[in-house]
Amino acid sequence: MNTEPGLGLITDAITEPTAGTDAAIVADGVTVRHGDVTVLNDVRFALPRGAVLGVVGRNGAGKTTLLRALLGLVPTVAGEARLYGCDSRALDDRVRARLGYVAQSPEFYGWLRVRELLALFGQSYPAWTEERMRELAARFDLAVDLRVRHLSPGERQRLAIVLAMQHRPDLLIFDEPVASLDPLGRRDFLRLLFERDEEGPEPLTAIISSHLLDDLERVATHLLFLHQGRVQLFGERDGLAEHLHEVVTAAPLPTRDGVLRSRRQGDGAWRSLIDDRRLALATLPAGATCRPLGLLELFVALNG
Amino acid sequence: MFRLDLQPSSATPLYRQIVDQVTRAVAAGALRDGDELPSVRAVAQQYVINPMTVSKAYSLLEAQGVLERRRGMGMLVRAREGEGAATGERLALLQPALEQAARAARQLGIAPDDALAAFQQTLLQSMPGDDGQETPHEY
Repeated sequence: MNTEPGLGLITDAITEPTAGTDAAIVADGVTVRHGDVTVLNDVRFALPRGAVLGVVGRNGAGKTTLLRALLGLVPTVAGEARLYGCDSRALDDRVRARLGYVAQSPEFYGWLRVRELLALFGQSYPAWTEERMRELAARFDLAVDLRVRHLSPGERQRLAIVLAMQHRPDLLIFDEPVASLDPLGRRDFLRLLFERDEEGPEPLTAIISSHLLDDLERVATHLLFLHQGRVQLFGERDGLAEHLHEVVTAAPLPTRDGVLRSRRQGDGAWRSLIDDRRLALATLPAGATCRPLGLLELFVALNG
Repeated sequence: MFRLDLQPSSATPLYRQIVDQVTRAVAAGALRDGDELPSVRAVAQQYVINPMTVSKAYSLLEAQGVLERRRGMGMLVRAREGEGAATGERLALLQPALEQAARAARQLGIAPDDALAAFQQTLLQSMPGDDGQETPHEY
C-alpha cells in the first residue's frame, strides 16, 4: 500500500510507488534552487528499509545536491525529505546517530592523526568502540598514526568510509565513495556493506551515487536515474531489467504510455526505450527489433 | 565445487543468472541430489553481490523444487534418481536461448545455414579446455 502522499506516477518519469510506512527514506517533492537555477525539481521516491539505491546520472544532474538535501544539508524551496519518518531539516539525535555519510570531497582536519580524527567524530556515538575503529582502519590499510594531511587521495577516501561506518550506522549515504579506490579496495568496500547479519535486526539501507555502474549492478536493489534535476526513472533494479527494452524501428513510435524515450540514430533508424508493463511487445510494428538492457545500456538509452 | 559465472554488466539480472546456472547444472548432472550449495552469505561475499540477490534466487529455486532448505544445513539440491534430466528436458531449458538467437538472426537477415554454422563455431569455442568462460561483456 502506498500511504505516502504524492508518490504516485509523475508525468515525465516512471516511478514504482514503494510502501511508505516502512520506508527508510522518503523524498516528497524535493526542490532545490541555487539562485535562478533549479538544481532539483520535484524529486519523489520512497526507499524501503534494507534497500540499496544506486543514484545514476550525468555530471551536473543533481546527484550530490540530492544526497545533501536528503541529509538536510541544503535548503529546499519546496517539498521535504524524511529519514525514518523524521524531517531532514530537523533531524533528532536518535536518527542522526543512525546515519553515516561520505561526502564527495571530504574536508578533514589535516593536523590530526588518523586515529585522533576517527575518535573525535566516533566517540559521541553509542555504538562506537576504539576496537571497531582500529579494525576498520586496518581493513582499509590506513596507518592510524599518520597525520591526515599526509594521506593520498585514495587514503583520504578510505578514511571517509571508515568515518562513515565506524559507529555502525543503519542508513548510509555515499557520494561517489569509491572513485579514487583501486578495484580491490572497491571490493572491500562493497563486502563491508553486507557484513551486518549478526549486528542486529535493522537491515542496512544505503544510497550510493556512482559512475561505476558495474559496482552498482552488484549491490543495488533499486535505481534512480536523475536528469537535469528530475527523476527520469526510479524502481527496483530487477523490475527495470526485466521490463525495459530498447526497440529499434524504421519509423518513430507514436508517443504513448510505455514509450519512455525515442530518438533518431545516425543511420536513420529510431531507438526507443519502452516499458513492457505499459506497452505489450506484441503490439510493436512488424520488423521492430527488441533487446533487454544492462545498466550501462540503460544509462546510454536515457542520456545518450 | 560448483562455480557460478556471474556477469554484473549483463542485461540478465544477477538473481536470474544464479537461477539459470543452478537449474542447468542440476539438469546436466553437475549438481546431484543431496549436494549442498554454499550459504547465501558465502555466495554474496565470494562474488561481492547483495545477499538479497542470492536469497531471491535460492527462494525461487526452492519454489521450483530444485533446492530444499534444511535447518542448519543451508540449501540442498533435490534431483530425481537417475542423475540429471533426460536430454529432452535439457533441450527444453536451452529452447528460450535458441529462440532468442533465432529472432536475432532473422532480424539481422542472416541465412539459416550461416546462423547454424555460427552456432556450431560458438559451441566448439565454448568447449571445456577453453576455460568455459563467456565472452566478456563489450563496452
